[in-house]
Amino acid sequence: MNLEPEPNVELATQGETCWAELVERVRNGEPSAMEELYRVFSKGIRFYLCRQVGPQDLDDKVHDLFLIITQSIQRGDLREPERLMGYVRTIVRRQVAAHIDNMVQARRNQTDLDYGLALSDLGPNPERRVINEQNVALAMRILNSLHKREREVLMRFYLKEQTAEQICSEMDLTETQFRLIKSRAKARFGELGKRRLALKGIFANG
Amino acid sequence: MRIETGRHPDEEQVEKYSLGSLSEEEAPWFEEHLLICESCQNRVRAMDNYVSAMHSASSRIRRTGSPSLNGWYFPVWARNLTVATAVLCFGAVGLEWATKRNRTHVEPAFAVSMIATRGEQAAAKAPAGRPLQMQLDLAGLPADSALRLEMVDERGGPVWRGVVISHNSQGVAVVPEQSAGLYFLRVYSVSGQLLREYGLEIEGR
Repeated sequence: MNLEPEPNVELATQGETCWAELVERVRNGEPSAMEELYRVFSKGIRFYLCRQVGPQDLDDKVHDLFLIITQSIQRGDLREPERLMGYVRTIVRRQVAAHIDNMVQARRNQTDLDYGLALSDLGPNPERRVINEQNVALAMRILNSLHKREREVLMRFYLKEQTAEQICSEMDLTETQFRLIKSRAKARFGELGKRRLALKGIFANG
Repeated sequence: MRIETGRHPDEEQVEKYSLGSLSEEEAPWFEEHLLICESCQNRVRAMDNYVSAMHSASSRIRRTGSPSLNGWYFPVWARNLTVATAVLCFGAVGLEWATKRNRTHVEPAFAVSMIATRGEQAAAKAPAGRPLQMQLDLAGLPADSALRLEMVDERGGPVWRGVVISHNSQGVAVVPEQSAGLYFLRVYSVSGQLLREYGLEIEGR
């Protein structure tokens, strides 16, 4: 009789995810464990990388990171298996920092464009650019519909990046008033965005 | 393997993370949660879009310096329309003023003899739109004395007031141009007693 738990069976006990079990399986080199690790963390790692260093070569970066994580676990570098999430986060952050550092160094060392360095456009793709412009138009519509004072609150927060405390103090607002102004604007943004998508759907379906 | 994502961050934490102002104590937990929670990844993505849009929109508004009317935003098209309308109005008023001014300068006062007679008689006539030099018959009225003049329209509403000095039973007063209609020129003593009234018909051009 095999008492070993089968892979992919629910192992959560008392509401906690059993990371230790997954780590043990990765250490043992089980292919299913690698797949499990990839399935659990790939979207989050992709999200984090894209947000920090952009969409360029994202697949390669994600794959490289998984190699690093897997090899590190198999080497026994992870002392506390229950802290797998924190461990993955640390590795991802270090890799992002290293990547940024490499890019800075590469720019410093570049002396002549004749060396043929490939310059990649780090800006958004055309579709993304259109979406961004539409979002800005929505935001402008919202800001322009507000009273000058409310508009000032939001511009201080999002453009000047002043803290809530500073804005409330300088503009004689309570925290509740400040939160209300922000939440109303955000709700309006979401509402207009949904309406825009609904209209697009109507036109697309003819 | 079932993944327990644990507690989800609240909206304020998501906003702070998007703005890069999440505290050092909260950031590790937040980012670990994001690694495995797709719904919160979507929330952060949506917040990033919103924050970025608000930042760009605020920057544009600050750059263009959109004017406001009593604290409310006045759209550029409405502002331009208002300015254009104001220019047209002022232009029209200016043109009308200039035209009237030119008319005043070009045409001399029209002399009107105002003779007081008893009984019914046709009023004196004068053209509209020209100053009127009233030559008043003051026979029988105190000589070399100041007399008050008042011109009223046919409803009795005053349109002009002045003073005339009686000399050799004659007096001259210049009345500004008036529009067409029936008027009465009244002569009063200094004390306010009505002494005489002349009829005047101003004819339109």
